[in-house]
Amino acid sequence: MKFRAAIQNVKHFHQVVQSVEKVAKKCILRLSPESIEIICADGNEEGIQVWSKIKEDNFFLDYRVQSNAANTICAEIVTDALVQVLRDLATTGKVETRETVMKLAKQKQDAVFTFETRDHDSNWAKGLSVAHHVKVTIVRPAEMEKVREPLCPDPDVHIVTPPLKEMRVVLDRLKVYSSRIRFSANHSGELTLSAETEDGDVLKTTWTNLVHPTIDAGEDAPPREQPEPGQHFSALMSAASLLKFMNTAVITPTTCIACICENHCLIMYVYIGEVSDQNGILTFYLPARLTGDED
Amino acid sequence: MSIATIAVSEAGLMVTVEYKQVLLASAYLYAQMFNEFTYNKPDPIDGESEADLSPVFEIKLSLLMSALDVFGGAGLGAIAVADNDKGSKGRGRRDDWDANGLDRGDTDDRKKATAMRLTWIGKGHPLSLHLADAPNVSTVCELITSDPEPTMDLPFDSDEVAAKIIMKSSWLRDALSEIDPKSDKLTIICTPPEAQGGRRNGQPKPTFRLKASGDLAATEMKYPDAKEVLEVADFGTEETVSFTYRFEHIAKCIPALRSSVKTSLRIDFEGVLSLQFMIPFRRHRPEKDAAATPSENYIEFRCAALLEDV
Repeated sequence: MKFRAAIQNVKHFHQVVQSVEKVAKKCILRLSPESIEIICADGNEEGIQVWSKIKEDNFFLDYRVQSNAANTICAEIVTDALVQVLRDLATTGKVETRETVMKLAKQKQDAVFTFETRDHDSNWAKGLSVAHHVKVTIVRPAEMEKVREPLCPDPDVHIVTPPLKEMRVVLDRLKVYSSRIRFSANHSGELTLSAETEDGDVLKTTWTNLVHPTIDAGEDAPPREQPEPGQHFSALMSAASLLKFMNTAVITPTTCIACICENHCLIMYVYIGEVSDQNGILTFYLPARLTGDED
Repeated sequence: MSIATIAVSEAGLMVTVEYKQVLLASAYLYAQMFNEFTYNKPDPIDGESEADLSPVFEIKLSLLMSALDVFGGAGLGAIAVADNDKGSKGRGRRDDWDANGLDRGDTDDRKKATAMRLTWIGKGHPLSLHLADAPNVSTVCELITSDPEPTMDLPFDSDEVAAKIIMKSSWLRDALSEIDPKSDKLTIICTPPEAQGGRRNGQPKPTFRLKASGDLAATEMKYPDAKEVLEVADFGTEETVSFTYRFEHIAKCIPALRSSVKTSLRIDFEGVLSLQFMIPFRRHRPEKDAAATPSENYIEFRCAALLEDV
């Protein structure tokens, strides 16, 4: 089992892990020859899951991974620990003249990710080299089999959301009304967030002129009837889980696409960097609440 | 959830809240502050006097506050500095909505103030708000209204004023900010010129003192008796006027004090304290008799004195 790679884009790596850290204490890094996946399948009380796939060359140079299980390594890591190392690498010293190598190593009985960083600018740090170790737990393939991406029905509507920071402010006010927030959108560019108190006080914010992305349905997807453009599809969400998700707005600039599976879940695709750069996508699954259930 | 009573009249809106049966706060929002203000007097039904008709209803205040600030465009506790010209260029028409410095807490000039329309059809109907921030975002809010509960009885007798002080709000603000927030009591002591002792420098002058006491310490502050500090100091007595209040209650008025430019402090012979804070706004509609119409809103706090001065 071997893994070694030079980190090329510390900034993006840091941002991605930072936003994952907002929703989950632990995550699994699945390193395969083509891509890196960051998975949080059971990390928090709100039931938010994160599944993201990033092409290896977005983060790394000289990327090498080997194992007996289709050359794939799955390692569980405490997100906060990883964030701290990456923050250090992304913010201190001169990022341009530095070379950081991330590898899987063994320290006594523990598996660790080692981040070895070396500065080439002789004026700056005189070739100072620093190593960080983050303990990981290797997840065996048999256990990894059980970790499955949630199955969702075809979303009823896809819509590019307003800036997450803007929605966050509105959500903060809505939660004064209720811990349940209705998230809804139609096919003509409208997205609505609303909340209602037990007495019937209502607060409802609507964005218009939003864009609908074109989504290619899978080839064997059953043809769907075109819904009425004005018809709203909605899911009742817990305010806490939406707010937790909105914290991922640290990735800037952020394009986010919301997909509503009516009364089932909300799927949020958050692009890392510009959409056109294809740096990768973070996918968040937020389960919907039924009207009657408890917090 | 705290309940606010809103009274509607031709003059504007009056929003009232009370706290622990000892503190009553009313905000007077004059019709002139709004870009438009339309009030349709309800038709009298048999046996009702005019006074019964004046519409009053209750709403949950925190819900109204959240709705007004739904886009983060309303700032609480902003200091009322005259920012009339600041950033007015490029704001264009939107500048109209930037009411009076009260609603703008942040300094982010790019963020425009939220526009709001408030409507109430009448008894039994919700209070509805329509707010717009950017051209493509809007919020609607419907607040359930109910008939008002009888308000707390804390009359201030304006014919029986023992002491009246008018000063710049900043003077009072600075003094209150010096007081340890954990202080228990605050005593307000107003001394008329007649009650002053030694007359060293000719005319005796009135004095105004604040005394805070807590478990560990006491603070006493005395205002210089210069005209530019105490703009008005009138007395209905020749004796020293001294009443003690819970500091916690007085501290409740600090946000309103911060937003105001001038403070009128009155105490009647029963010890009821009336603090009126003048909060300026810019009039949006040119009017013929501009001088006759108000260009300030008021917030009034009434607080009962502690029974025993211990």
